Amino acid sequence: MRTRAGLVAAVALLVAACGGTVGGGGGGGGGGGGGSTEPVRIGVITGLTGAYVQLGEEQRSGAELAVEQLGGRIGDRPIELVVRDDQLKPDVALREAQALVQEEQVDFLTGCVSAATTLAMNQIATQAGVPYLGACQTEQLNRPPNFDEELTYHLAPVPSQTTNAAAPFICSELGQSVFLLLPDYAFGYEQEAGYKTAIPEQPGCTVAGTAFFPLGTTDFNPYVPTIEGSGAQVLVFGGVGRDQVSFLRQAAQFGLTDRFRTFFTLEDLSFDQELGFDLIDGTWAMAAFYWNVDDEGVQEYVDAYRQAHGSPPGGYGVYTYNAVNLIAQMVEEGNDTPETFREGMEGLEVSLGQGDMTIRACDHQALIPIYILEGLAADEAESRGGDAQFGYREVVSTAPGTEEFAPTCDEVRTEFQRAG
Amino acid sequence: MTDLRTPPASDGTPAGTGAAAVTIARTRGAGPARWTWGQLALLVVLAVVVMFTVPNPSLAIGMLVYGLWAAGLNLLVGYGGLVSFGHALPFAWGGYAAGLVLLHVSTSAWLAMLVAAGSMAVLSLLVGAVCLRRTEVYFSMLTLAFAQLGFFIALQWDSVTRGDDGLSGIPVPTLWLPGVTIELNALRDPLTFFLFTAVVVLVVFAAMVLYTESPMGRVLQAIRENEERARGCGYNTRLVQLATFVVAGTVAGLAGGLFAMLNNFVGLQPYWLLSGVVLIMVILGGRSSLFGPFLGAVVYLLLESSLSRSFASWQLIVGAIFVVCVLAFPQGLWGLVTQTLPSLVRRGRRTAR
Amino acid sequence: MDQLVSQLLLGLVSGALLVLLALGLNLIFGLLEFINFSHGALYMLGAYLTSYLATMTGDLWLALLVVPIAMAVLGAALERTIIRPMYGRDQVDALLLTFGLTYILIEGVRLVAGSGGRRVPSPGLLDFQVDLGVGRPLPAYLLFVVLVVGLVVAGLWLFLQRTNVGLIVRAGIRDHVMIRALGVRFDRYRTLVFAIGVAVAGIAGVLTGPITGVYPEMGADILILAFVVVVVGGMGSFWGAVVAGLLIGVLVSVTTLYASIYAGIVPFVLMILVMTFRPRGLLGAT
Repeated sequence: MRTRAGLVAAVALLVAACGGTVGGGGGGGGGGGGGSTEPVRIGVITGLTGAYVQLGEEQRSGAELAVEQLGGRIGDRPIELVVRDDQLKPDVALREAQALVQEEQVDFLTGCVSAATTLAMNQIATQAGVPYLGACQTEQLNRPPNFDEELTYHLAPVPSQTTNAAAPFICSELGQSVFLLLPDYAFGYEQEAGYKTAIPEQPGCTVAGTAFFPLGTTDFNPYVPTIEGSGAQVLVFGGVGRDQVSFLRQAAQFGLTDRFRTFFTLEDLSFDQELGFDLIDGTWAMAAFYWNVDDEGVQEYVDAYRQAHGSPPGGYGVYTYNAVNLIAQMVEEGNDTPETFREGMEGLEVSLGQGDMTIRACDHQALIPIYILEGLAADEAESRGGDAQFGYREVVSTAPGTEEFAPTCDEVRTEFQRAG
Repeated sequence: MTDLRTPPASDGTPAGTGAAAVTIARTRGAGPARWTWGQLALLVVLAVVVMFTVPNPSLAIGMLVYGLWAAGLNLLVGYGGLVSFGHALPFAWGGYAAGLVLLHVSTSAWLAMLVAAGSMAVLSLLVGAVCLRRTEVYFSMLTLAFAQLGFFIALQWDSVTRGDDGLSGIPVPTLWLPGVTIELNALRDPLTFFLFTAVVVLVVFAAMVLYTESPMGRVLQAIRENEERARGCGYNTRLVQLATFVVAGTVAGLAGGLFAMLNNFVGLQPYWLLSGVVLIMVILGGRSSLFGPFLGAVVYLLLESSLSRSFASWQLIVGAIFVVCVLAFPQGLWGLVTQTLPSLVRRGRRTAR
Repeated sequence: MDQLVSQLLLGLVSGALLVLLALGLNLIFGLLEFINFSHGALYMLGAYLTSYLATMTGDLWLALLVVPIAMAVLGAALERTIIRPMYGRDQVDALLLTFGLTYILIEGVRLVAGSGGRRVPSPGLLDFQVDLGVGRPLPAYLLFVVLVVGLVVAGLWLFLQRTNVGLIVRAGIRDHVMIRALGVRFDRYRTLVFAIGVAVAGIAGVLTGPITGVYPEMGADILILAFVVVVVGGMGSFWGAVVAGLLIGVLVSVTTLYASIYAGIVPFVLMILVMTFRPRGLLGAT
């Protein structure tokens, strides 16, 4: 009996000696008291390897840029930024998030490129009591079962916000009959639900057909007859990144883009660079950020980014840029515990890298402007886009960041449902 | 002493045409396990080392889980000569099964593990019956096809699996033991979770060692060496392979269940990639024992977590290590320690003398 | 009806590219007796070479000539250096080796060319639509792809049937011990066949570029489909790969028309069915 007790004691001692290992871990997070000179630790987890590495790199740059602009400090407290790679995999995101709250004792978490990783990080954040500021498009983060009113914030738009903003433009400017070609995973289903609600609300406007393409589709040719057979005037394409490149190339070969007004749900400069002027010309797209938007906050961010990287930013770095700035503002005002952070954030109206933004009190959703962008030809770039090299698009319509386009506070209290 | 290099094939007659050469070649790749029960002791040592040196608790627990998964796969790859390209399927299935039980039925850790392993055993029986209609490459391709099918179902059946968003918010499991009830919260109390996982892993590992030493396990290895001969001896070779497929699947299902309990989350990712990762762990660690793959999993995860922080193209290094392993050390890290080094030392002594 | 015809034609086009990859895989498997897991990565490498060459010259034609040759040289070099030691070892070892090689190639390309994709200009000469009389008009480039694939298939077939080298390769596929016993220097033929297989993958890479653009992971998904084609058609069967490639292309295409979400899984279900009811594949030898 005694030996066993001794053994237990020895193990306990060993465990205690190795702080930070399995034995030494602990609650973590929470933040220090106000007015101290303790560093403010901000964890950024994003996809630094994998298919969307440009978006991940940009989120890293966005956060770093914000820290640099703040002079590396918030008041007396230095900022410590810890950036980790989630490889776009939810299980890696979980592991890194756990490491950040346990080992690094971060006070805030942000970053993400895909919906699955954002939900994984949010879960760890809510378990550990650390505020998490989501940075990618999903309908799930500000709804049950994921939303935690104490800790969850969402800085990127929800897809229904964007589809609500797009529907009036699509129906009045492009055509009254719309075909939806969407990716066969959550982002596609969320768009489907959004468009199928928003488009019929426009007078005379209908969804003529919907098709889903599986993850990893590169051959879009088999979808051409279906699209043509639908008799639609507008083609909405919901894929991102490489899907856009493959699809638009094949659609152009079939002359589809001449006969259909083509509209992309999600634009990003890194995708545009892969597409090139020749494919983008004569299409439309939507984004929550574009570098040539005429706004003081946007241009301040764009100028700083260009100075650091030589090219304007795409749409993903601004979320982490804003996240760091929001955290800085809150800590500056003394709101550095999760409770006071929440009090400061709810209903906050600020102007940051995306222009005017409101953090809605009921679901902590950022209400931000959504831009409709027209694709330009190379010779139009300078005169209409503002830059011969990067002026791929011109803003032709802006939906302000108001309640009008967001799902209502009642709607977000229920779990997301697929359309029909 | 076995020669480690392939004999030069300049005369156009590569080694391995004759039956004896084949056996030698295979022995080098997947020799008989020497350290039968010593493996268990080694595993305890490894677990203790991991516990006290790996700074990230979640990573440390993950090493045990992945290690178990890889060791189970080696029953097929190393002992059975059956390379599964779809071993992510049972892992993911176990994860979903445990996650759904915890979410909708009960927070009992026992029940979650039981359902994860049990349901996977049944599923393995069905999948294995089809996959084992052919061996070798056909077997690999069929396991891959089933993994893809599983991925498709998990993605599509989103009312149950929540599609690619993954099952989140899985409640913290409770462990009912006689007299005590323990919360298995990996984030708040990683030590308890680690010890619990270590005990489960050790028990299952011991069972696997027992299996490889049983008459069934012996026949399995005989089939790998020469299926015709084994059949000639009157063994039902398919049945033995199927039993192994079920055991490996069940172990992977259990590992998947543990992984879901660790993360309180089950995610979806292309399974052939995940199947590839666990296969790398097996090859890296060595196919000739059950402990080797376990070591491979620990080393792989260490490489991943340290390299990926400093070098974005860390998979280049992983690929290179893998190629070198296959080319020069087909018996993997553990084989290097137990076979190559001693023979080198012996050779060194001989030349010194 | 018209729509269905278009769908069938487009399926044949998609299938044609699969046929190229599957033929290379199959040829290598037939003679070298292992599954070349790096086939997809080599195809990707061919596509990247094309992208650079085509951007430099502004057109595809030079790449169509140069890339297969460059890939053949690379294939021969790979065979001589890292694949040769695998002969006589477990089949699995070569599979695993090429699996590791895939990682190196993909990450290497990422390191050199970046993770983003690259564009390949489509040949301006073929930028028009051709009315075939049935279904909708098709882009001339797609018909050109089918034409090139047809030529490559015919060329390979003639090579195997009508040349002395082809005769030895065919005999080697049947029984390489016998061929070696006859005093043939079998090594050279293995190098040759691997080089040809890789060159054919390179041609597929050239042709795909203008359709999808190029990116580091492009080989991964299509490789798995090519495996499926080989298994469904019958391992080692030349026409099996051709028939199965076209069949899978058409099946996926038609599924897209009626139930697009199932399009991705159709090849795998087909493979499971074929392996269950006809394990040697559609045209495979017993």
